[in-house]
Amino acid sequence: MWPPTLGFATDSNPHHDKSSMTEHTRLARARRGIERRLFLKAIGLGLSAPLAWQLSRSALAQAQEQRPKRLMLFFMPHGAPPEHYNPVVNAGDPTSFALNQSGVSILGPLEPYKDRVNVLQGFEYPGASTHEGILTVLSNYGTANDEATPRTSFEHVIANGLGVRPLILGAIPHRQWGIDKDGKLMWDGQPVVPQSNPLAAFDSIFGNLGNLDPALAIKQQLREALTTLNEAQLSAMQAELSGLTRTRAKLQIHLESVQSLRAGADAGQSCETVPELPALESLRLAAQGQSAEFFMREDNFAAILAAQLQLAAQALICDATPVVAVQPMYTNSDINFAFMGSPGSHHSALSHTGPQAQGSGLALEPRTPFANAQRWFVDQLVTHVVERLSVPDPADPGRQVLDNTIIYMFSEIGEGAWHTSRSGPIQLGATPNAYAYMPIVTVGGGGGALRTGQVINVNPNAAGTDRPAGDIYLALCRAMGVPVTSFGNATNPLMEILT
Amino acid sequence: MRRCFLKSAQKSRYPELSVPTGYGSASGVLRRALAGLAFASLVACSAGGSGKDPLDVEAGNAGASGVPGAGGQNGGGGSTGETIPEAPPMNPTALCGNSAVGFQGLRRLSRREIENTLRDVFPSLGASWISTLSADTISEAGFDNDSNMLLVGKQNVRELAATAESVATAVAGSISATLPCAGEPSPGASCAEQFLASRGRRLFRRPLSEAERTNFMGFFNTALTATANFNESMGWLIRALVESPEFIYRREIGGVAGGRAELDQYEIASELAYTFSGTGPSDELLDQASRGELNGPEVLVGIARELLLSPAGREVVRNFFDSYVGHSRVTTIAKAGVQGFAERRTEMLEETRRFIDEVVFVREGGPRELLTADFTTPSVDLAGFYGFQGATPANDYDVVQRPEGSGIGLLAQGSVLATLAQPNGSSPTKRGLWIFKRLLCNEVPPVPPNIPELGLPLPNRTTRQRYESDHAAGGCQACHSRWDPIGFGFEHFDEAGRYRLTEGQNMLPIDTQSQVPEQVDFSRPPDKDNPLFTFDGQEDLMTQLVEQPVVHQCLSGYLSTYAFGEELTCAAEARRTEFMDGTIGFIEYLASMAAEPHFTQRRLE
Repeated sequence: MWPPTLGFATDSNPHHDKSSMTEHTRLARARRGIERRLFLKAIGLGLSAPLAWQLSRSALAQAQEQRPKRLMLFFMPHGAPPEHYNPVVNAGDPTSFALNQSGVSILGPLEPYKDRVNVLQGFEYPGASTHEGILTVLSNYGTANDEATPRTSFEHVIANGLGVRPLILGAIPHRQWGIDKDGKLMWDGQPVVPQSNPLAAFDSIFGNLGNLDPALAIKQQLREALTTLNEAQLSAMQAELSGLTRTRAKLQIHLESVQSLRAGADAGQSCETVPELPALESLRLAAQGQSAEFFMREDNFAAILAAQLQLAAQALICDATPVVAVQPMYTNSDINFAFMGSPGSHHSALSHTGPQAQGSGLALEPRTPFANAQRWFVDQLVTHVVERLSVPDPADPGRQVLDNTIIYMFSEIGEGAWHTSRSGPIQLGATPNAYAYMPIVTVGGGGGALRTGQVINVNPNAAGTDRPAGDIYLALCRAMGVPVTSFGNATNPLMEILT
Repeated sequence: MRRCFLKSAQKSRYPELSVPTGYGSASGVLRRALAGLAFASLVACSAGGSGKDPLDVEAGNAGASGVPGAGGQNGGGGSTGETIPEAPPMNPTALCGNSAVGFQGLRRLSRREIENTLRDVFPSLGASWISTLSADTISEAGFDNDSNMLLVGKQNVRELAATAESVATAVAGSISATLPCAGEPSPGASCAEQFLASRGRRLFRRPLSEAERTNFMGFFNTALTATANFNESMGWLIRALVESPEFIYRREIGGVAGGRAELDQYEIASELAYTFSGTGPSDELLDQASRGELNGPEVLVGIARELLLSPAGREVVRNFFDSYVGHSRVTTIAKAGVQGFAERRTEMLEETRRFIDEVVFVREGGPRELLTADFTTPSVDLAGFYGFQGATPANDYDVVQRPEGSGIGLLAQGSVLATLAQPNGSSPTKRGLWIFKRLLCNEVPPVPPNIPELGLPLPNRTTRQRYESDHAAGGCQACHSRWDPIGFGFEHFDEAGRYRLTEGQNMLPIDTQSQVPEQVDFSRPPDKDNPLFTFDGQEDLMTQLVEQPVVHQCLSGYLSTYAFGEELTCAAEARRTEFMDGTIGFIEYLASMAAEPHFTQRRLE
């Protein structure tokens, strides 16, 4: 579509030549052109240039506000080997890069979409060390091994700010018998346990589609009355037990959680018919007659993840919620990846395979199995989400859902075997063989709020200081219309990814 | 968790006990939780419901610190501004002589306890009904019932509401089947009051107060007015009861007497029921409480014993071992290279559960029997899978003698060995580490960064050779030298728990001569010439391990931690020595906890 209306152009064909840098430049120029037109219009109204410029930016922001905005988080556990991950940037131009020229190219499946991709490098997870980073990675808050401090990860900050309930899904996201620190990735004050059963999640979202409940208003009134009754009981217990500080603290958390029932909307959605999700229906067949344990079995992992990803994509398309997250596995999870051709436990065998020097760089072969496993995650994301979101947006028919979505893919560590939480060289001899960064990628236009098609490295070759990952979250919160001023020690939004 | 490697010590809250520093993580949960309350409050104000424009967040600065972690340079303070007292640190191996008493408080029911209680109180739910509650947080000790970890956060509240609705839907629609007055013409408030009196008593584990009856009936009448439908209104009443904090929390408050709190009869009834049967008290037990009969060690231990021997009590014991050992994970793991494993893994779990039942309930055994029993309880097919020669049971899960040299005790169970293994090979590290932590009660330092890789299996190198070589590199040896040698004793068992005479297609000889290293702190490596003991093979290892007092101290400490649902040090000392020396077994030791001071008393904050 040309000229673009606002923000990014939308191409209804997801398989067009997205790798063309000419196209990207054209889009960037178009965006600048829009800003210029708005600016000239303001000048025409007799405003001074600085004020007119400010207003044109404001008009652009206002137009973005009117577009749907969606967010999806996708966790890729156990880091990535840089020799198979790092994008190849051409001649220092961060907008000219390839995602399919690094070993087995973990990010290769995103190459066709790279004009809507940002690869972010030079960020750290403060307070994190090794896999325990999972505790703090999304909140940028807390200290190493701290699984108790209340915190809120940024997807819940956004959901809370928008007044919606996020959809948090998982594929074997914690140990079978409960959630320990290795599974505490997302937080809403307390850790959030992802829904492990895609069928239950699907039914809760789409199960009652079309069944209008005539007594809904009455139910809402009674729900409100029941919440009030619960609050009263909790308050009375607090008063009765006021001398017991730990008990009172428990009750206070409970009381505020009950109060939160009044916030956050139930899923309302634009879809009128129950969607068909092939991976989910296959899983439904396989799960027939099985106990709940079926959804914690490692040999069902791939099928569960595929179903959860399709469900996440569909929930976004249908606007069941604007915030979803999918957490495959947990940190230190040892699922055997033989199913996709990399035999061995994902954590202790595959991810712990260390780098080996080859010439001035790193040998590709030793970590090809791990890289293939990580590429499999990206491939799943592209197959089940990115491609599905490359359809006209029901809420914004002139564009694709992907244009109005931010997919945020990340890991809890950088270099898998070295367990890094910040940028650094992989140095096996006299000079660095490679540089490892936290794997962080965005996909999608964010409703026009994101500037994409870039490799942004804020600490090239780890020569300086990393920026906290919280700076990214500040930018994404702003893009989603929920600006916050800090995440832990992060106060400086990554403006490079914002329009 | 015998923090024997930590050098410094601090004065315990118990005057009779000095314990190392570094404990008390569970208490920190609440301390830090309280610290974040101010921010949670602000979220509630800014996130919907208030009508506030989300974009006001920045202007109002709520976003800056409106959420814990988001802008939250906010470790201190809280909505109440009070400091939570530190709970005593837990040390499973500490021997104190006198039993300690924990603090007063509320204890949130675990998911398992909630589901069991609801199924008991509302039998029409059926045995297969499960809630929509997420998995509980598990404690550092590995248990899902730690009262300091079980909070009711936002997710729990929503899931409790969904669970309550599920119960209401299932029960209210056919309520006349269990509430005769509901089948009469035009049932109303008096019928609901009958229900409230009976089911409310079971759910709250005590009679409702007059004020509570008034409030719940008021809510019922509101529902009846709004819906004009008795059954639907009963559904709302059920939801109110299930969501009530009086259901969700067990009270362990008591009344102050002589500087301590004495738990009341209903609180003791609840403690007996949940500790020893994992569900709420029956009508009979509540009747006993109402008559003031739950007094005296003999009465309480007798009830505890009876509950433990019930089907529900057996599940409690099974759950302890599931959590302590972790072998139930076997049903979820895959061994792509082992033919028949997927078909047998559920049977492996059942084998171990039957084995534990045999040791604990039938033979009334203790740690010695558990760790060195020369029998097992496989299915017929499983015996074939293991390659048992001449040890096939006549019927599935019958007791059979293990074949000579094929291992002994719990740590020869296929479910345990397969869980403590790699998907494509055994794991001396996982097996040794389990003993290091769970039988020797040692603390394990955090995994360091920059872990060199473990080499790939090679056809001409045994697993032991690979681990010895690769873990000798870099800084690995500092830690792995403490547990890998223990794990070498299991090398005759492959990744699926099957005995093997040699390793791999090249039939490499297996060396199981090794040692349990000297137990020293991490300031220096253990002295190889001064081990705790040397051994050859799994049977020798287990036989010598059960002679180590620390093993019995450790296991008894974990047992009381699980039973009391709290990380308390020395809460069950009265008969601990008898348990450790084998005079009494698991059941009698567990039942004896009903006579401990902590069972009927609490310390005041």
